[in-house]
Amino acid sequence: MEHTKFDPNRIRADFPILHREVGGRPLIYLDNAATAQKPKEVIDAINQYYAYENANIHRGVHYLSEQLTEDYEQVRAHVAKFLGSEDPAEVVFTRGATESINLVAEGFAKSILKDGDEILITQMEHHANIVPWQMAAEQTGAKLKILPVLPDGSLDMEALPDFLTERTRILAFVHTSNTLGTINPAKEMIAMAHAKNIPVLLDGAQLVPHAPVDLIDLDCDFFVFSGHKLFGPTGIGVLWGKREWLERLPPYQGGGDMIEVVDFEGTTFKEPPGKFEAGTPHIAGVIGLGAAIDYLETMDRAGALVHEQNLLEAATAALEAVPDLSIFGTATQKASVLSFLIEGMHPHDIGTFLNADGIAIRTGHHCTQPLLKAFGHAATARASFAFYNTIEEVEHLGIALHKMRRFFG
Amino acid sequence: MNDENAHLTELYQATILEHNKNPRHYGILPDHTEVVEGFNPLCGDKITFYLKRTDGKLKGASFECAACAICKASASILLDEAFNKGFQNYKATHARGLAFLEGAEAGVSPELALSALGAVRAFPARVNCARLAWDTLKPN
Ligand SMILES: Cc1ncc(COP(=O)(O)O)c(C=O)c1O
Repeated sequence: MEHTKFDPNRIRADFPILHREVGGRPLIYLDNAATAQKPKEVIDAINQYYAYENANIHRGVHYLSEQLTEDYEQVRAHVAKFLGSEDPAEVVFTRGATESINLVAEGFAKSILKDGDEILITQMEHHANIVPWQMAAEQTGAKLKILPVLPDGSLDMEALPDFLTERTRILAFVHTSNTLGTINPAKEMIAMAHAKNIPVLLDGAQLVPHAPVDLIDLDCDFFVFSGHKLFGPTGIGVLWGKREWLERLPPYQGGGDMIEVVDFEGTTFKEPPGKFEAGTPHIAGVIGLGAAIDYLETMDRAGALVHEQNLLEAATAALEAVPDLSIFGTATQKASVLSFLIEGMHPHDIGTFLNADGIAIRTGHHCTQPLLKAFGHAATARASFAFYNTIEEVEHLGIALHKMRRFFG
Repeated sequence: MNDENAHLTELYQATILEHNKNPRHYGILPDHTEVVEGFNPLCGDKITFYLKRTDGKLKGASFECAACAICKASASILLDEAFNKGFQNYKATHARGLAFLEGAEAGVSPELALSALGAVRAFPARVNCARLAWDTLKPN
């Protein structure tokens, strides 16, 4: 294990929920890939906004509205910087990763995809990066192509060149798998697609909570993530898109705020990002997301990542010591997400048993049914770790799993 | 079992653990005339009943499943009860079990294996696991 000065116990003090009990046991929260907990900085910022700063934005000359518009737009600029980019206009606020992907898929369906075109995704995608493309394919006659996953849970990179054809109009794939934990070679894949002039959408929902991002270096054309997995509020997310792409795509929804001039003879739309943000946005969400990013920037993120990798290593060892347990997803590059199966035990029973010990894990298909089906599983158990988890919690997990084996005999 | 597991022993009563390990009427009924499948999309639990009917009357049944202990045990218990009654009045057997799982009926005789499923009612996330057998093998 690599040494780090990063101290999760100091960080834990910032997260009120980590100090509560569940059924008389201290909560051990290992469901971070589903949603992350919120530091008090985020909770306070949202309270502060509703208590003292509330107004509508982009449409007032009064003090509160002007102040808040400025705060809101500052978060946009901050998100751009957080992603390693320069231009705030490339940041569109959405409801989450799901809506961001729908926005792009619908835009492609309306303006780019034609009968016989191809959309390339991978076998390990979250339903959020499958269904919108299926819908786009259905509307346009385009075909959905699926890059396979190898037995260890990595992508079949050797097959990729053949999947990138002259009919491929977009490659959309997950940076870090929420089920397998696999970290895909995104930069290399993006470069391969670009060599054939194919744009790329990168699903960063499980990347941003773990590691800093540099979109200029990655060079993807679209990048999506959700605020709630990044220690921020639910209901807010981001679509980052290269300016030329955002200019090219049609508006997503119509309404106030996204227009320049509305006339019954015809309406003109704002420049991006405005043209994609119809109606009063989730202002509290944006303020909360800004606070989450502020919070992360006060942290030693490099140290946090080392700590998370140490948690992954310790958890992998602890689980491998449990009889009849197998880990689903053993690629060499993994985030701190660990799916597992126990021979003769259904994940649901595992989840219920661990819950009685205060341990929260996810069980089920993790919104990746096609991936599980390809491997012949209906469900897995999944423990996913954030920087506020501790080695002691990992030890508890191991002990509880051994206890469970005895219980079910 | 020490009492730190009291909550769990309530849910996973010995009867359930036993039915889970040794489910009754498990496997493919060789001379079945009908197959009924049930699926819980929320958790992926899947159950298949193999039925034998003669002259429209249920004469035999078996099941297979890829499911949790609660689901498997409850299917085993349901079929066992039906067998014990020689498939007479399956409708009543089915209705009584369902009423019990739904909490409409407070209790059943503790001698019945069905009573072991009572604790499920306190685990909202798991009631559907127990119900899947009932929802799948409905009387016609
Ligand atoms: C990899 C991945 N993509 C997309 C999503 C969808 O995120 P949301 O439900 O917040 O829109 C998730 C969330 O589970 C995810 O893990």
